[in-house]
Amino acid sequence: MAALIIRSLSQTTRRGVQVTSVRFANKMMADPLEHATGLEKQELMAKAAGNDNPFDMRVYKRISGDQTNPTVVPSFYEKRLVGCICEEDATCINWMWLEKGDKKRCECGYWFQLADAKPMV
Amino acid sequence: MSAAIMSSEEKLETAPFDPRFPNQNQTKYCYQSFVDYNRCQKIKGEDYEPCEYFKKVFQSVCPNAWLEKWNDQLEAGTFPGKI
Amino acid sequence: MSSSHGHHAYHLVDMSPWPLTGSVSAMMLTTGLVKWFHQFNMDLLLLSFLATILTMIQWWRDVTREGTYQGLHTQVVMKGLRWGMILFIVSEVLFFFSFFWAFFHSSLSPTIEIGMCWPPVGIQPFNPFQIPLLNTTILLSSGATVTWAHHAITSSNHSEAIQSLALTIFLGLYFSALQAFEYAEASFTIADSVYGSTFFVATGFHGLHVIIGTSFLAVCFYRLYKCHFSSDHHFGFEAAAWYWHFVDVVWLFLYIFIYWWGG
Repeated sequence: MAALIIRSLSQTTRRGVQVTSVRFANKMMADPLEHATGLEKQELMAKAAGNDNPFDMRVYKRISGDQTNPTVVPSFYEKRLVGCICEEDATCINWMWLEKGDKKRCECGYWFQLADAKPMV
Repeated sequence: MSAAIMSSEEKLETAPFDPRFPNQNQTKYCYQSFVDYNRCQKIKGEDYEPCEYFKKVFQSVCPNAWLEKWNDQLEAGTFPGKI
Repeated sequence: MSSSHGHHAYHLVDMSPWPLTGSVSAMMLTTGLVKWFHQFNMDLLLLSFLATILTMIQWWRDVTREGTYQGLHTQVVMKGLRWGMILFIVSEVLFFFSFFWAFFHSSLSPTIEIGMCWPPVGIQPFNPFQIPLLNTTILLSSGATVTWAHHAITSSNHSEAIQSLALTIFLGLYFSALQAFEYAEASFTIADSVYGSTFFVATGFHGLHVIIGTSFLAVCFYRLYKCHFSSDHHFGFEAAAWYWHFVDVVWLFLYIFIYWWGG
């Protein structure tokens, strides 16, 4: 560690002496998108492509929700846990399992249906 | 009781209330009076009458054991205070 | 999505031995301290230091790998890391609050046992306008250089970030060296009345935090050198900078109240 600090210190000071007059000769860091990898990169790329909610993190606003026009909930799996906030000031959430295929009604009477979610990228 | 007997009785006094020490705990009143007495004597000499006021106060407020301890400490030069 | 981590942004951590080795090390640390205090034998304490340091190095190395090389630190994960660091620093503030409480309790109304005066009779405090004032300027300067380093990183300037961070670490080491010198020169000890106790416990724990902060910055220096940071993902550095500012602020309070007012 000490050797490393000394080496990089001596390198940077030498570099500083050599290029003080040329500001753009400074070593620059990688572009954040190039630097990222894995899930972090997928998130950044999705956002760059205009998807500002790549992980589907927001609360769904229920549409009219009658039997012919259910609120569609995307899922990557066979079923998804859905919670209804039935009244605006409700102090509890009514949870239910929504399974692929059938439409289902929540406690307050609205209809929901599970759909295949699209992959993020 | 006749007036003659009343006047011959000794007047009993304790330390007066001191607004610097308004609490139930009078430890610091005792200590401060002890220090003030010794400072007073140091400056004015041992025969200066007004110094005796402080002595009256600490003698009525302080436990005797503390006074013994402090006098011993003063002799030994280990008293924790500025005289 | 091809990732094996599911269709969500959260980081579900893998199995790790470090919580276990960390717990064992902490147990050894407390037992080792008791053994040292009562039997004057430091063997267990030194062994626990080794175990604790090995745990810390390897645990944080794993966190670095998860964040930098595996890309598991998404926006929402970083938000969690931020909150974690904020709550940690708040708990540190309360830690130092207790020492200042002890100090003010003892100094604002000194007991008769110390002569009802502060500093107590027989204590010769440090002159606050000598080394302590120099240390104040050193730490304030290091707060400026760490901000310089942060600006360099956010504008992708690697060379300048290396220089300014190296300068910050140097100032941290300089502070610790001066503080060690001051301790060696002290005319009173931790056993000399409540003055010595409050003084050395408060400034000693601050010194320990300076050493921890300097190590934290040194790790960031290594990671910066190894190009782990990008201009908008460098939370390790930001956490170190937050910590360093916290240590800086604690010193200002120590200087003003314990060295200056209390001296």
